[in-house]
Amino acid sequence: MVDMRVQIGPLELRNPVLTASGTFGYAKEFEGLVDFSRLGGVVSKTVTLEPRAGNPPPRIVETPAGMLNSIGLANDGVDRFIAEKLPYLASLSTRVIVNVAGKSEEEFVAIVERLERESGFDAFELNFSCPNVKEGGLAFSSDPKVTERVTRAVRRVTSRCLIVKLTPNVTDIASIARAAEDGGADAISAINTVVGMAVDVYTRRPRLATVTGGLSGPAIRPIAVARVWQIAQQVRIPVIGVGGIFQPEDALEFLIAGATAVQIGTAHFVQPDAAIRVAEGIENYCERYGFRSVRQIIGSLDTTSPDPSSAAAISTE
Amino acid sequence: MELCQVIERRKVADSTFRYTLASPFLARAVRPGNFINIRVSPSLMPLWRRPFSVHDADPSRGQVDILFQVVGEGTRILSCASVGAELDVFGPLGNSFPLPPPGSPAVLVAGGLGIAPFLFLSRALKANGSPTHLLYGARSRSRLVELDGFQALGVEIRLATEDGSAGVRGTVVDLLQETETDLPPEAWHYVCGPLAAVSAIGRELSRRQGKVWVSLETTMACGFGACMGCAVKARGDRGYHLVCKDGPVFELSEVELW
Ligand SMILES: Cc1cc2nc3c(=O)[nH]c(=O)nc-3n(C[C@H](O)[C@H](O)[C@H](O)COP(=O)(O)OP(=O)(O)OC[C@H]3O[C@@H](n4cnc5c(N)ncnc54)[C@H](O)[C@@H]3O)c2cc1C
Ligand SMILES: Cc1cc2nc3c(=O)[nH]c(=O)nc-3n(C[C@H](O)[C@H](O)[C@H](O)COP(=O)(O)O)c2cc1C
Ligand code: FES
Repeated sequence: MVDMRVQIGPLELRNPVLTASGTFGYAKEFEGLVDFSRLGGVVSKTVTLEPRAGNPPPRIVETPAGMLNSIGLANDGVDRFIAEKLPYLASLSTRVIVNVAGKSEEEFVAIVERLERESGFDAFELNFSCPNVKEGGLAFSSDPKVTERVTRAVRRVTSRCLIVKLTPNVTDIASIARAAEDGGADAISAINTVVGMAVDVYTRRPRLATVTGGLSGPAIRPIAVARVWQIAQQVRIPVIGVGGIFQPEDALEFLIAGATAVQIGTAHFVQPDAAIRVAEGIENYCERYGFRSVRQIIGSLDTTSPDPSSAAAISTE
Repeated sequence: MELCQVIERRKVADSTFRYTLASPFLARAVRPGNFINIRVSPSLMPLWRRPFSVHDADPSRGQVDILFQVVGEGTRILSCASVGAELDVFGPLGNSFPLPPPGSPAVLVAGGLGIAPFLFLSRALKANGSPTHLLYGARSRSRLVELDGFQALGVEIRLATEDGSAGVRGTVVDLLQETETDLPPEAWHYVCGPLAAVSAIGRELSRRQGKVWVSLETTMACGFGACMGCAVKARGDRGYHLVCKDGPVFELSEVELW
């Protein structure tokens, strides 16, 4: 038996596999498709203070091994979230992380305060990164000072586990991660989608109504693994790796590079039970290679120059 | 999700195929208007599953049919599946066509591959005792799919082709205008096809009496309400509907198509 438990700040997860915000709805969409008790936890779709209709279509485009989206944080607002979505989430036998966004520091504080009074969930994830919304997202985690200030302001109003989710669309993500740590975050999630764009050359129109959108899926995985590796070396708090995970091996890359847990996103659209398959695969890997605990893998990246007599070196001959 | 074997594969028109899939589960569970989402390849390109309407279903034999046209890489890969191949299928998805009061008439209006869900619907309409008319438009005769199934159900058929090689020369909208006076005005209308065609047909039908149901196609990443990518504007100031979950069938007045 492999010990699959990991610790995210004050929160223990039964295994290191979570669902990524915006790709798992409010879990209800996956009822009957996924045995929630086999997940490390569920991160719900970003909720905002006021309802948001979302962006006009087309909102999604398929790209090589990935997709672009500009959903625009469509959601019913925090009041209906509490009334209609939270009770179901609360009933699941897994950890529940509520992802929130705001247009200003005040809004972030207000929505966390509003939710803090409710029971039935374990942690907050702050969406400091969504690149889709003109007035929000980007600003919060593109400047370390803003990241630290808003994290600290939210930290004051919640005693729950606090996770800050970062955008990769910055020059130095590790400094932003440090700022979140200084502001009191318990963990960092990285990455959100990468800004991207696709053009229909026959009509010379953008393929998304918003022109640019967020790239996700296997196409961004190497970017995400690098970001996680960079962050993990610079902060003491756990990092949650997100980006293009479809297979157990993909998740293992993140863990070895320094992530304590991972989130599965785009894969859910193709394979609704992807997260469970990944969790099982990680466990099999541990068993097969003699790790009694998944924690032994975390950050185990070996960057010494390869031994010329190793199996890997031989097999490339 | 299940693996369904292709038990029959037929080319029914230019680059258009009809597959019969073995699935006792789907054959019992599907309703006319539902779709299924097929992963055409285990590789990452294309990434998404591809949605296809259920063309017909036979619960007694445990079979469902799809009818599809090759328009890009996904449908090209699908068209290469041979008999005996197993397809990764997710469904049934979406809502279904409501039926008119028993015995009252129905008019089906199909642009191109919009014909796909109508064979299964015609079967349900027949059981409902509804006299059924089909108006079907395609680019040319070589694109028209076989219509024996509809004929066997007693559906009255009218055709239009853009080049005039079969039926009326023009689009299905032209056909609709031409037949305005001799179709029962109180009939429920059902419309399916590419979004542009459905929009043009819907516009024409909005001037008439009788309920109008449209089945919409949008790009879909998931097909079950998880991505919120398949939005279509709701009529009035009511935001968006999700085509995969709230649809694909909508009453014309629910959606803003023009
Ligand atoms: C609910 C639903 C039911 C459908 N039922 C059927 C069916 O029964 N039979 C059938 O043949 N097709 C059906 N379609 C359309 C079918 O899913 C697409 O043709 C298919 O996904 C194209 O995949 P591809 O990889 O071959 O083409 P892609 O490479 O994805 O696209 C090739 C070209 O086709 C266009 N295209 C892609 N998807 C669509 C679409 N949904 N509508 C219009 N243009 C599109 C693209 O813009 C592009 O120009 C349905 C779609 C939906 C949403
Ligand atoms: C359709 C879609 C919607 C998303 N919505 C949100 C969201 O509401 N909040 C958020 O923090 N991230 C959102 N994301 C980003 C994902 O949570 C994840 O960070 C990103 O997609 C990278 O992971 P992946 O490649 O596994 O999908 C969304 C991604 C997609 C594809
Ligand atoms: S296709 Fe994903 S919500 Fe409709």
